Amino acid sequence: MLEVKGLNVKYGEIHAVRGVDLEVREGEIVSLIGANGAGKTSTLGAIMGILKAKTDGKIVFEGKDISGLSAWNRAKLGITIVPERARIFANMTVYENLEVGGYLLDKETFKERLEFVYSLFPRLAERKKQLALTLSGGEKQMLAIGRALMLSPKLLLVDEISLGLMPKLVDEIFKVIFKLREKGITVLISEQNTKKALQISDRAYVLQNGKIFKFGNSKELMEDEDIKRAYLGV
Amino acid sequence: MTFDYFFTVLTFSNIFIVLALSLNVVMGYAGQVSLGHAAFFGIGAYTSAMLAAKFGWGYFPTLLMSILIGAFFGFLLGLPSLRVKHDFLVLTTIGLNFVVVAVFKYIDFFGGPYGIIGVPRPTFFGIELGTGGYALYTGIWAIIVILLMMCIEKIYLRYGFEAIKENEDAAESIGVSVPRFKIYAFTISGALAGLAGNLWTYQMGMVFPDDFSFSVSISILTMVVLGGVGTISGPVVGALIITFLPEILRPIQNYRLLIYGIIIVLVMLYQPGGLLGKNGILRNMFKR
Repeated sequence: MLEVKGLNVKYGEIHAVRGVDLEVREGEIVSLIGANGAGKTSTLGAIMGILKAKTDGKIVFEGKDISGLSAWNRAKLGITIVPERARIFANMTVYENLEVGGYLLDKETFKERLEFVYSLFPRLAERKKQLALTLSGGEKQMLAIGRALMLSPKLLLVDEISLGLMPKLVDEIFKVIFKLREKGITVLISEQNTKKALQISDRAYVLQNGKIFKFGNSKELMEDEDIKRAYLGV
Repeated sequence: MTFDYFFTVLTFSNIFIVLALSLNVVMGYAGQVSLGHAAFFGIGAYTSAMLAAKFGWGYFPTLLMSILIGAFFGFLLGLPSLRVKHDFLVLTTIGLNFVVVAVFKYIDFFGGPYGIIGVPRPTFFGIELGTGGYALYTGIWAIIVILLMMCIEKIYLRYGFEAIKENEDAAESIGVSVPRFKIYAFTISGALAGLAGNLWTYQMGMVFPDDFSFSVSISILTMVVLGGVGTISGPVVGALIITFLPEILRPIQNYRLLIYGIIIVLVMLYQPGGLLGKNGILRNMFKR
């Protein structure tokens, strides 16, 4: 479904992503793991086309080279992102956030998508009239996922969803991400919480200083001595 | 108060309703602060004045050209707005206002400081509109623009505008094209300000560079801020207040700018959303 070849991202003199190659197959959950500053967010940003940095390399989605396309066109093809720290529309209500997320949909499809999001996150339905800025950290993340799901994405990019959340909420959100696969949505997730990411994903790529350090089956990576030592604290 | 006088003030209020709503598109909906809106108003006004007085064009072709040229310059200002934001955008728009006025004032082709005179009253099917007729005509345009705003609030444009107003990065993450929506906002805004310019020219019969100076931009801004940024009723009520208030308080008209300044400060302090914005006094009164 998604193929990234030789991806480079540069912020001035800083080379954040160095020749990253990765692949995401339809129906998979793939995780990008690594320490802070490893290049995970830059990689996802480059795939979505929202980076304001010098980017080169080839990004192919469903057989089409999308490297030169704007984020707007990539979203229309079926890619959306749940950005780091949610970035919800704070001064809008929960419902309005979802309304903006589904701004390209006709009335019927909008209604269907809204019900789908509310079924995944009943708490959003309960708080639909509440201003987004008054939500808790976990609810904000739920809203960010819900907003991204309004456009019926084929590939959902999820960036550091667990950042700053308490463990119970992290579990809840990861359960929903796992459920998305059953609904036919492919997920590429970047995470610092290596254990959680490896538990829910089929395959994983480990980034270190902007380069792919290791990749493979998540279960196998969980048993890998280097990964255990560096990321799982074993 | 004679009828002619009343109709004249009514005409100005209609023109300012169109103008305030045009600024509201870019500022209220898309969140891009513009302090040089009089430039587009002037461009629309000068387009009609030049075509009518110098080249003898009829009313409707000049109306169309004012809207198109206003839209074109709105589009042009939309381009730098993709690169500059916030304070820098404010300075860019102020600069544009000064440049446009200077061009009108110092280039003879545009009539220089003496402006352009001799614009005839518009005629429809050979009948020249009187003061009452023109007030009605501008009123119809004000209603059309209000309806247009209601349409914008119903279609996807509103969501795109709201998204870029709230958070450009978040908007991009859900595939809202920030450049596209900014350009839409500035182009629509420029077109409507051009329309207001046309209505102004045919009301006055002449145009002068200082009719479109920076202080006029401040007046337009005051109308929007006073009424309620981002609402439809706010700029309408703001335009009515700012047009009728000086007529009621004629003796202190020389202190107009001072009064506008005080109004803006008071509104910012006590009614930051405007009289008809969120938690506005007038809005709450109507809710009851």
